[in-house]
Amino acid sequence: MPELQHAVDDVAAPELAADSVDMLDGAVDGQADFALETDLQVQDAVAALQQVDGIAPERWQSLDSGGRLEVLQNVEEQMAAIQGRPSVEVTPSELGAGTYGAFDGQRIMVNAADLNGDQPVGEFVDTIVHEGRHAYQNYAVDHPGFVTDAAVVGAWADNMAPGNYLSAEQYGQELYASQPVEADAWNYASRVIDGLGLPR
Amino acid sequence: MDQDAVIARLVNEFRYPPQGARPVAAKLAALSPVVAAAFDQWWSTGMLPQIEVEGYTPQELINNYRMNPIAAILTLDWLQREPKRALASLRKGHDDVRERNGSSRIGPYE
Repeated sequence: MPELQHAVDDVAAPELAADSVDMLDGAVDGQADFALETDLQVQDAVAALQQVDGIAPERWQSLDSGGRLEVLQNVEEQMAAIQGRPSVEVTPSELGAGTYGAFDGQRIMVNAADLNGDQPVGEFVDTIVHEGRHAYQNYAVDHPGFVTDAAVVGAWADNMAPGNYLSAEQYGQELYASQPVEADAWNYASRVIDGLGLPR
Repeated sequence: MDQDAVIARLVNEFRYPPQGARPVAAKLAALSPVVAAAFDQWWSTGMLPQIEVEGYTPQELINNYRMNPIAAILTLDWLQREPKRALASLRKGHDDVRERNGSSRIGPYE
């Protein structure tokens, strides 16, 4: 992501000796960097995904499930490049009613039954961007320093630890949606989809 | 309702992990009055309450969203308190982040 790195390098930063860095300011800088990084990713995502063949609703409707899966894989490739992480495979899967997607640490799963249906393309792109954000969170936890805000990464790591993820089935929609990894993924994907103006 | 007793029942009978039972118990203690009455009925008798909030019933959330009765009641409470947000979230549905495979992880930098 040379253009993204260029944008980050352009931001002036004070030169400080390591032992003179104020911890509070360091934390604030980390938060600001994370917010800026996220904003830039959303902008880049909107620009990139607009170019993906098959995203236009009328084109999407003409595709069979295989063609649609290719489009969604392309979306994931674009998002992974923007986020600076390896891409993962997008695969159809038998998911329960009301479950639009899943991420298992290695691949993104989309509801196979939905892939042949009439849901708007925006729903599918939202799913890939949302699940891809989980892949980004996973990568950040595995690679300290990849995301500058240590508190955010710590929250993600804690949320993803065994027994800590709050499923909607067991905890209800509110606790599910407000936990760190889901709140972040929801907000991120919504911003991208709103920027694309795709029907949902 | 005694919170410790609620947590114990959530863990022992409904198989919530202890760290998950605590936020659930806190939410149950703060239910809006209408939903609290419905929850009390179910907690005592096991019978699903006849309650509808913003077009959703416990049975629908159980059947169509695969929620257990506790999750369904908590969701009805959210619909009661923040209908716009809750409806938008439910319309989308939910995903499933599977537990990380491989090495278990407590924190990011261990």
